[in-house]
Amino acid sequence: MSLTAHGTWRINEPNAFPVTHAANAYCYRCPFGKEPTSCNLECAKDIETAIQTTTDGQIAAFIAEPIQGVGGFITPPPEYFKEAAAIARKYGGLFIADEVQSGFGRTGTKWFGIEQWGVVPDIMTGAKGIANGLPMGWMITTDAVSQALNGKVYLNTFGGNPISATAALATVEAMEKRDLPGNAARVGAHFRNRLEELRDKYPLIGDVRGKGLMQALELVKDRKTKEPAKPELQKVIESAREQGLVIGKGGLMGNVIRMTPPMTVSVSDVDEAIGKLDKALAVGSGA
Amino acid sequence: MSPTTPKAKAKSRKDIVAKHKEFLLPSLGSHYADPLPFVSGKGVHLTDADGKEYLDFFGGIVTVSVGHCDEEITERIVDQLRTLQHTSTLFPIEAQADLAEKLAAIAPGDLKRSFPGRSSRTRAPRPTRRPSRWRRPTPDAGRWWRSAIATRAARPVPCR
Repeated sequence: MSLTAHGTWRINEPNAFPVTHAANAYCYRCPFGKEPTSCNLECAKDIETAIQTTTDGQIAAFIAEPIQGVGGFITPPPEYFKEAAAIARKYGGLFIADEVQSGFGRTGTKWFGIEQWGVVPDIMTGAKGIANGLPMGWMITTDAVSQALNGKVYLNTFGGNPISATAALATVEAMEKRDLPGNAARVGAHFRNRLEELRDKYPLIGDVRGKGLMQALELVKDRKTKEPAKPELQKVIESAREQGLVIGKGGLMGNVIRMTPPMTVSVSDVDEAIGKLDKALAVGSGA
Repeated sequence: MSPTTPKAKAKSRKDIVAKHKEFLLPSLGSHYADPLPFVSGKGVHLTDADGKEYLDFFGGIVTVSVGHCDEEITERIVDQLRTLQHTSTLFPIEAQADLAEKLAAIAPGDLKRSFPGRSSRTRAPRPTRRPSRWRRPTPDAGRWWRSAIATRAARPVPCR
C-alpha cells in the first residue's frame, strides 16, 4: 500500500517503507506545464531530484507501470522509461516494471507494456490478465537477482497452484495460437481512431490515451480549465449500461473511462461499442 | 462438462443485491448506482440476472484476456481440476514449471526466474512486505532484496 500514489487505495496507513514518489509522467496535466512535443523529460529527471533530496543516494529500485492502470491509463512520453531506468541504475537501483494491467498482449504486438518503450527491466510483476480471470500473480527476474534468495525460504500456500498455473499457461498459449497481441494492435488501432472521432465530436473528452486495447478517455467540464467531469462520467457509464455496454472508470480524479475488452474483440464489436458510447457521451454532455 | 455456458437462472437481481448489501463489507462499492450482478459470460459478452446482454469493454477488470468462459481454456482448467487440485509449493508443480518456462520465453532480456503469487497482492516478493528484513545483508542482488522500493513514477503532485 505504501507504493501507491492514489489516495483512494490508502486506508489509514502511513508509508511503511521509505518510498519516495517522483513526478507523474502525466502529459495531459504536466506537473511542469510542458507539452510532450517540446519537453525535456522533466518528469523523468525528477526521479534524480527525488533520489538526491529524499534518499541517502542508494536506492533499492524504481517501480512503475509502463502505462498506469487505475491511474487512468496515463501513457508517458516515449523516451520516459529509457531515462527513468538509467537514473535508477545510476544510483544502484533495479528497474521494476509493474505489468499488472499493461502485460500479456494488452498494449498490442508485444507481450509486455514496457517493450513498447524499448527498455528491459530487472524485474517484472503482474497479475490480472495472465490467467483469463483466475486469481494469479507473478514476478519474473534475472538469474543474478534471484540468487539473493538462495538458501532462504519463501513460498506461499496457494501461489501458482495447479489450477491457476494451468489457467495461465492455457491463456498464454491461446493468445499465441490466436495471435491476440497482434489482434490487440490491429483492433486497438481501429478503436483508437473511432475514439478520436468521438473526441472531435464531444468537448467533454479532454484526452484520448493508451495503447492497443488499453484505451482511456479523460472527461473534462471545460477543455481550457480541464476541470474533471466526474458526475458526467457517471452519467456516461450509466447510459452505456442501459444500452448494454460495460466500461470501466478510473483516474486520479475519478474522471477517466477505461476500456479493455477481451483481446478476442472484433472490429464489428468495437463499432457496436462506439455506437453505444456515442449515445452515452451525448447523455453525459447533457445533450 | 458441457461446452456451453449455462444460462444461470438462480436468484433474481434484487435478491443477489440485497444479500450482497447485508453480508459483505461496505468497502465493496458498486460500479453503478444500482448494482449489477452478472450471472454468465461468453466471449466479449456478459449476461445479467435479468437475462439482459452486455458487451464487456472492461474485460472483467482488465483480467479477461481471451474472453469469458473460453472453451479451450475452460477445458484445460476443468481437466486439471479433475486430475490434481492442490499440493502447495513445497512440492514442484508441473503446470507451474511449464508456466515459468513459458514466461521466460516471452519475457524480454534475461528475465528468467519466476515467483507465482495468488493475485496482484502477492506479486511483489517478501522484502517489500517485511520491513524487519530490510537491513539483512544478502549477497549479490543489489539493494532490492534487503531494502525497500524507493521511487515510483506517480506521485500526487499538483496537476494542471
